[in-house]
Amino acid sequence: MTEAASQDGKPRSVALAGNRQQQFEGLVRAHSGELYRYAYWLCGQDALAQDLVQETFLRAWRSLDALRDDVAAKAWLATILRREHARLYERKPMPTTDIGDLDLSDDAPSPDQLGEDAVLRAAIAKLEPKYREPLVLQVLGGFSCGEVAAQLGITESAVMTQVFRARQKLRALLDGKDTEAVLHGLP
Amino acid sequence: MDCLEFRRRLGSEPQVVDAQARAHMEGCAACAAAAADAQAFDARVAAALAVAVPAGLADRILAAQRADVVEPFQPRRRLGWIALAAAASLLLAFGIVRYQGAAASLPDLVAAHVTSPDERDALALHTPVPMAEVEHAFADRGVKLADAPPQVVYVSECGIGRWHSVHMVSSGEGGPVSVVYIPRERAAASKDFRRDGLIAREVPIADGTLYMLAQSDQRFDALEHAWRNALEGLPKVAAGAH
Repeated sequence: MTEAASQDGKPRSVALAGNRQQQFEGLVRAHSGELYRYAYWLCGQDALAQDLVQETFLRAWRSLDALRDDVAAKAWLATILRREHARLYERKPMPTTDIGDLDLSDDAPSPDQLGEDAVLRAAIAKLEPKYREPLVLQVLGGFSCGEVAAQLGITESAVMTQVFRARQKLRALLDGKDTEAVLHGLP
Repeated sequence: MDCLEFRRRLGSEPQVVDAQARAHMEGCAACAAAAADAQAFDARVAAALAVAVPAGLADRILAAQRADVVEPFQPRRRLGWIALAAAASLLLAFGIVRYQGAAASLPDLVAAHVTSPDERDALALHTPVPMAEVEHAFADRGVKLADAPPQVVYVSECGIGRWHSVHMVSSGEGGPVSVVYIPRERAAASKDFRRDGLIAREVPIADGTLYMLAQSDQRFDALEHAWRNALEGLPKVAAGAH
């Protein structure tokens, strides 16, 4: 049986496979950075975050036809990533975060030297996952509270409460305590 | 909307997209200032969240994907990037069977998939997956569930050979059961069989086929009943029937 040719003369299956590969490469280029950052804030480790992102995209490749349109890609990839992370977490308890390994020696740079970002990162890392994850999805991912709710399988009002409290806690951590304490994980 | 309501919403949505909230902000200088402060804080949070992305990440992902495309049915291990090729050679040396799509039957492929090292860890999971996630996975496969699905602890949209499946794990008495639904590929009849050391059942349900694989078939009847309800709905009682 001969296969119908596509417009450029290649067998249709080759053309479709080529389109699929192109689509996938586009997804990787567009979303791998953001997905890495989401993974990093889920697991707190650089190497593990890279591994999670790789696993996510490999699963995405195998299920690419399930992606309705590229607009839905970010949410779809985030969902796959979350599942991969949950699988890891079920197998063994995860260590908290790289940020918790800050050098506590006398030679450690001061908050001013490290910069405001480092202080805020330490504060974000101290948030409980139920506050941190919706905040990351909203601020980093640009998802609305409704979209975050759909992804996490909770109500929109629950998401609004959690991100509200996340911001409250961050402000309290940064405004109510000295930044040295935040950096070194002191109560 | 009053100031109190506006400030409450601001804590959840500093970007103020709601039309009512925007209208209030335009008429209230104090709330406009609060919004500017909230947005400035969120910008700081966004900057802090934007950790550096490792150089070459996208290229490494694509390289790994190309290796996966070349050997799609080899069990994949959670290894370093370079070790992927070495692992592939090692697996072949130990005589791991490589399925070539149409060369192996669907039951063979399903059994190989659920027992692959990449999927085996799912059997140890315990936390129930939200129902919405299960429904979403089926919807992505073009299947609208007729009723609430049974509880599962793992759900993933997996390619098995040329088929697109919803792969789940049900945990309970007697041990975990791998449950795989293949839409739009309906088996001719129910069949019990054994594969790769597991007891298995193949059941035509709706327009597809449900596979269950486990060490024990203790829960197969109950799961089959529950999934038939979820996929086909409860049987309708004919008018006048008792």
